[in-house]
Order: sequence, then structure tokens, then C-alpha cells
Amino acid sequence: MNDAHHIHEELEEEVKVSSLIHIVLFCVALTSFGVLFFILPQEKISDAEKRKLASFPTLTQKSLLSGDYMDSLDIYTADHFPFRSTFISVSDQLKLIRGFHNKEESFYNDVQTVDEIPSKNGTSTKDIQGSDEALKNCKGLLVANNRAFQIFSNEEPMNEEFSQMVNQYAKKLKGVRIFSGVVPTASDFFLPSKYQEYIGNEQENIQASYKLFNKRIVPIDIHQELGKHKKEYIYYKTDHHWTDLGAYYGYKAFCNAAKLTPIELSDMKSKQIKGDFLGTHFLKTKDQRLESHPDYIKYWIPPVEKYAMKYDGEEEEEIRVFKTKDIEKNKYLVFLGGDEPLILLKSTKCKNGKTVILIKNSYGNPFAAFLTANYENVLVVDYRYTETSIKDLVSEYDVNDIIILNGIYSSNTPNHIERLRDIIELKEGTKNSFQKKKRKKKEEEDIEQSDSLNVVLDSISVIE
Amino acid sequence: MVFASLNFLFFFLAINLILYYLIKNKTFRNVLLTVMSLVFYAWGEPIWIGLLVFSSFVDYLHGLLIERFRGTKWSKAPLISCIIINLTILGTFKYAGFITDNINFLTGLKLSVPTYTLPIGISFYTFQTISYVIDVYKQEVKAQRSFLKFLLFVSLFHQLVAGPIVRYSHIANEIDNRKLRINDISAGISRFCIGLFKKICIANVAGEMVVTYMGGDLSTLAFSEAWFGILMFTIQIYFDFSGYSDMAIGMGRMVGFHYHENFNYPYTSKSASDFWRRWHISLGTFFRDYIYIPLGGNRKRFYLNVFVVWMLTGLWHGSSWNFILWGLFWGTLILLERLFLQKIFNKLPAFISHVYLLLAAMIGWVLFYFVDMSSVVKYLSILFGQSGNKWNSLEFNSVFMSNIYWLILAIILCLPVYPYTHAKLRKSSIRVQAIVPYATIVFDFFLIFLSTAMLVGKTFNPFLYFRF
Repeated sequence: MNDAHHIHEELEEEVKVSSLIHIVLFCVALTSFGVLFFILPQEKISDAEKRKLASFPTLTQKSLLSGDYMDSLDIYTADHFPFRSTFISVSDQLKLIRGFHNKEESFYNDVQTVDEIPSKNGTSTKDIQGSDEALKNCKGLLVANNRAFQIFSNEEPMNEEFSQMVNQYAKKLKGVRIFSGVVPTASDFFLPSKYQEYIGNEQENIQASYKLFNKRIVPIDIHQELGKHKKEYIYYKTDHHWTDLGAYYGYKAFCNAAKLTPIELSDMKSKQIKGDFLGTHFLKTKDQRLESHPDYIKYWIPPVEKYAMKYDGEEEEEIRVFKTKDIEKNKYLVFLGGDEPLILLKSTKCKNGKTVILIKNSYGNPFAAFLTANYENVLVVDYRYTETSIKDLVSEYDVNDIIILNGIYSSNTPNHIERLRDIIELKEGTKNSFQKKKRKKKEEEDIEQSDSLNVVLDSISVIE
Repeated sequence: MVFASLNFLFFFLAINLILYYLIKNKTFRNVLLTVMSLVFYAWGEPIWIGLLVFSSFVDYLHGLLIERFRGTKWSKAPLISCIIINLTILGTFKYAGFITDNINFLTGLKLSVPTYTLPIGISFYTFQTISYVIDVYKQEVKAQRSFLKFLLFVSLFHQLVAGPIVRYSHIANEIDNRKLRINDISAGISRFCIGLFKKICIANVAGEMVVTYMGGDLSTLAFSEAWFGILMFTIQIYFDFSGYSDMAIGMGRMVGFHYHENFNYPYTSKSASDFWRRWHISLGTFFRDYIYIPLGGNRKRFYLNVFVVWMLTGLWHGSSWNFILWGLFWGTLILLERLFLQKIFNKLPAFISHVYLLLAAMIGWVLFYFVDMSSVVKYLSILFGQSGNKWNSLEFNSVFMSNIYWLILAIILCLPVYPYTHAKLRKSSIRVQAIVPYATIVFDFFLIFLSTAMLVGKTFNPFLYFRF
């Protein structure tokens, strides 16, 4: 009895000791992180995230009163928190143990590699991503069979809007032949059949647009030509683009439509970029299966002059048609060095005086050079950035043919369609705001060449 | 500032606690808490801090005036004036846009709609001060003579922005003399850690999925996704709100305040009336004590009283029609239960009552989530399979399975596991009981560690109460 009483008393006492320990540990733990925050050396760049970490905000009356200063401080603390990378990997692990994961497949339904387009007021592409515009008909990514697929939902097709836009080209531009082609993604060819019923059929969507073209528009059946070569390496597994080989079959489909003789693959020299290529799908998902099944970039060299002229509205500059240096972070930049407003490619062999305009987004980058086998001049217009109207180009260069080349997503996204229609006749004096963004990026690139990480991430969002 | 942020945890709270425990003088402690509360508020609302102080000063004066005029024919005047001022402030800042919108709609006028942002926490602190002056008038508490102490009551950062609605009468004594007890502080820490975990590891995770499913394009949302979306919102709003209340109660105990409980496992309720005795208790009792009962309660004008109280409850949550509808939805259910539904449920197995309440709560949250009526209708039509949308989507199965353990945990935590475990442990052997306090310490650190990792791991940390 006495003993029991004694034990009970001791227990009461012990609760207090443990409480004291509890309080001291709690306060020490909270404070020590605060102290470590100031003691530990601070990093400026996060390698894992490929971005610059926030710098300490400057205090102004305005930023204080608007609350921006406090918001920046919050971001600053998060970016420089002690043992940040450890905590991040713990949180990644936590995400994994929230449930079980199918080893075969993974969905990333928040990931979009839709053709992004900078908005008119020059806001960042991030804002666009959140808007309805970017979400149109894209339901994220599926990784299956060690390959990433964009999930196309044909729920809000834009076939009418798209074909009306293409028909405008016929209405406003006389004396030229007009071709229009929509490039499908890998899904139609490589998606395992069990997912097919959930995913919109891209060929159906493409054909629905083609049917609405008027007589002057010649559709390019890229889908059919690619379908003949399903066993070949026509799409990257870790990137949303087609390969140079895929683009070649696209070119072949164009030649069929335009009644031209395509150059044979065997008549061209081929080269391969050193090292593996991990594309946008990998960068956005960090999926292990993609990482362990990287792509490579092989390209064929058509009869094109090594250097091309690039115009960005104000200046001209010589660029290499195949850029082989400084493309470590995104090897797709090998094709034309990325997206430029306007590039003029010259053929080395073909001296027929013929000129073609290729209106494209990044899908067109590997496609463009093949055209030099049939045209003396190839004008490559990126519709997102150009400041020159197609009408002006047609009259200035005595153009024979125009090709409008789209990806399946851009042909179903309203702001892309709108932009494509706008560039037929750009009103004078209206500066292209797309251009400003691009130029600003260029400046940053020049200033911080060492900080290539940022530039890479930016370029990812720009590439179709 | 929000509780679930690194700056709050590792700087603000750390500094606050250490200074508080180092200072022994009561007045200095109050000064410290008040100053830090104002800093806390200014962190999120640098402009409206003036409004908070002004509003507190007005209420403080009115409290004194009520006592001054007590027994004279003017005794009611300061009470009425104070309620009018408070409601005017609330009306101007919270409902002006809503009112002008509706006037414009009804009359076809084109009055300009005010665009200033809602000061954080205004709904909470105006209600706290209204309850104060009424209680002073009813002589339930004495008016606070020190402005510092009164400002401390209004601005105390524990409950300033997300409740609970602390009544002056509950903490009047503790404002003047409160004691620090070691075991109390320790219990407060545990409570805080649980709240932090609920907010960061459950509510925020659910919130991300709410954005995906409820915030996305409804025209392509599948049936299964819609149910999952509303389940996520049901989880998010409970864990977010009750997590904040846990943290508030925990931090109160760390410095000697004891706030009343605000949640009591509402999703285990068997009826709408039961739910509202367990959900946001401080709000429900506020409306009961200051509106429902003064109007006559269930003695006179019962139906009208129910209507008024539930319309106001809805309106308190936000200045748009969907919140009013949401309030009336609950009011209707409570009325029906009183009239006949409860009798029917009493005869049926308890399981059916639970299903009924959960369904009612989820449908209610649809009204709560969507501000525009067309989305409410659309979402409900998907839930009831009337939209023509597909039944399932390709990615949903995978998303569901990859969150299944977390989901089970969230559902278990809606049940009273914590009191249950405590009761079990209390009955266990003395040896086990001796370990419990130390195990609690380890457990708390585990919760902080997980929460910190999640906070650092992503910047997704939304704040739900801007509308309240």
C-alpha cells in the first residue's frame, strides 16, 4: 500500500520533469533553426531545382505597406531554410508513401507541356499555365512503357476555329499555295491499348479540321506518313517533340501533298549529338523510368547552308542551322538554336529561285531544314514571336508556298489560333509584345551566362 | 502571418515564447503579447492594423460608458451605438461590395463597387468585441479599465485571424491574472503540434487535390473525380479550421490562457443539429446567445428565428449568396429534423444517420465552395450522375491509389482517436504510464519534423479565411 502510494507520487513528480524537458526541447528546437538560419552559409542557386534562390528583399515604404516585403521575406526564409535539401527530399519521400504506386504507369495530371504562348501584356508563362487557356484539351502526362504521353482529351475540340483561321490565309493571300499540317503526339502511335479508350483520338481531331479547309488549302497528312514508320524512332520518349526522323516523315508527307520529290534519307549525312537527351517530360516529372531510359538526338543534314540569318525585328544575326555548342541543358536546341521570330535558310543545291514560308512553333524546328532540298529560300516564322506580317513577307520575298505547321495541342488552343490569325496582317505600329519578352530573356542570358540553369527552364516553357 | 509558416514557427513563436518565459512581470508580459500580436497582424495587413486599433479603442470606450450610465435612462445608448459602429465597420469592409452588387442588379443602377480588400480576421474580432459590450451591459463581466489589456484581448494573435471566437467573459480573469504551469505549457505544446500537423500534412495536401478537381474545368470532370473532389474539400476544411483552433488553444495554454474548444469531431455527428454543436462551436454559441435567444428562441417566432440565425450564419462566412444558401440549407435540415426527421432516424440504425449527415455536409460544402450558382448546379449534377460527364477518368484510379494510405489516415483522424488513446493509456500499467510523457515528446517532434519538411518542400500554403 505504502509502496503503491510512493510510486504514484513519483509518477506525478515525473510528469513535471518530462514537461520541463518537453518545454525546453521545444523552445531550443525552434530557436536553433532560427539561429542556424543566420549562421549557416547561404546558397544562391539551387542545383536540384535549377533556379536562383530568392535574395533578401529590400525594404521600401511601398513594399512594406503593400505587404510585398513580408511575402518576399517568407519566400526568402523558405528558400534558405537550414538543411533545406534534406527537408525537401523528406517531403518527396512523404509524397511517395501516401499510397501505393503502380510500377508500370504514373499520372502527372498537373503537368502541362502544352504549347505555351506568352500573353499580350507580357506576363510570365506561369500565369498562363494557371489559366483555362493552357488547360484546353490537355489532361496531363502519363508515363507508361518507359515513355511519357501527353493525355489528349478531345472534349473541347477547336476544329472550326482552327480551320477558319487557316481559311483566312487563303482569303487574304493570293498567288501562293497554302499547306496546313497538324503534327500528332506519340500517343496515337505508342500508347498501350488499354489506355486508348480514355484518351481522345488525335487523328480524328486532325481530320475534323482538315475537312473544314476550303479548296485552296492543301492538308498535309502527317499522321498517315508517320503511321507507316511506327517501328522507327520517330518520337522522343522523354520529350514532347518528334525526332528529326519523325520530322523527316512529316516533310515527306508535305512533299506528297505539294507534288514535290522528297530528298532521300540515304542522300543525307547523319550525325548524333553526344550524350543522352532528357527532355521536357522528364524535367517536369523527374520520373525515374524516364531518367533510366533517356533519348538521344540523331539528325540528318540536308543541302542547307551552314549559317542562316535570323531577324528579331530590329537586328539581324548569323546563326548556325545546327547548333552543337552550349546545348547541354536542352539538346533539342540543336535545331535552329531554338525558337526565333524569323530565320532565313538558304539551300546549297537548289537554285530554283523558289521560296517557302514555314509558319511554325518548335515542332517545326527540325522540319525546316529539309525544305532546302526543294526550295532555294526557306523563311521560318515562329508565329508566337514574329513582328513581321505574313502578308509583308509574301510580297517582299516573292513567295511560292506557305506551310502552316502546328502541333495537336496548339491547333486546339484558342490563343494560338488567334495569334496565327493575327500575324497574317499585323497592324503597323503595334509592337509585338511577344517579342519583348523574348528579348528580355536574351538580355538576361547575356548578362548571366554562367547562370544557364534559369535560361534552360525558361526555354523549356517556350518550346512547344 | 499564418501559423503554418516557417517564419512564424522558427522566428515569431520562438522569440515570443522565450521572451515571455524570461519576463516575470505581468504587465510586461501583456505588453509583449500585445506588441507581438500587432506585429503578427501587420505582417499580413499592414494597412488595416489602424482599423483594428481604432475598433478596439471604440469598444473599450463603450465598455466604460456602459458602466458609467448604468441605471440611468441612457444606459442602453452606448450599447446600441457600439453595436451600430461594429456592424457598420463589418458592413463597410465585408459586405459593401455584395450590397452594391445586389442594389445594382435589382435597380439597374451602376453604383461603383468598392474594391478594397477585406481586412483579415475582421469577422472574428468584431464578433468578439460585440460579445464583450453585450456581456458588460448584461453585467456578466466588468468593463476592462486598461486599454492595454483590452487591446490584448482583441488582438491576441492566437485567435485573431482564424478563431475561435473567444469571449471576453471566458478569459477576463486570465487577462488580469494568469498562471504559468509547467504541465499546462507542455500540454499546450502537444496540442499545437497536432494542430500544425493537421493543417500542413492533411489540410494542405487535400487542398491541392481540391484545386485539381473542384477548381478545374467542370465540363470534363468525371463522376468519380467529383466525389473525390468534394471528399477532399470536406477533409480540407475540417482539418484546416480545426487545426488552426488546435494551434490557437495550444498557444493559449503555453502562455496561460484557456480558450474553449471549437470542434468536437463534427463528422461523427448523427444529425445537423448535432453537427452544429460540434462544428465551430464558438460561432454556433455566439449566434445562439446573442441572436437566437434574444429573438425569442424556440418560444416565440420560432421559424423566423431559425431563418434569421441561419441566414446570418451563412452570411458571416462570406459576402455572397452561396454562403446564405449554405446557411439556409443547414437551417432547413435542422428544422426538418425537429419537425419529424429526428423521430424517423431514431428508429433506424445509427449507421444511416451518419451517412445522412456526411452526405448533407458534403452537399453543403459544394454550396460553400462555389461562389457562382451555375457551378453549384453543374457540380451537383455531376455528383448525381445527371451531367452526362463520364463516370471515371484514366488518371483518377492512379491518383486515388497513390493517396490511399494518406486518405485512410485522414478519415481515421476525423474520429476521436486521440481521446480514445488517452483513455486507454490511463488504464494501462504504471510502467507504460511512466513512458507516455516521453513518448509524447518524441511524437511531438516527429509531427514538427514532418510539418517542417512539408513546409520547406513546397510553398503551397494557402490561407482559407480571407473571406470570413
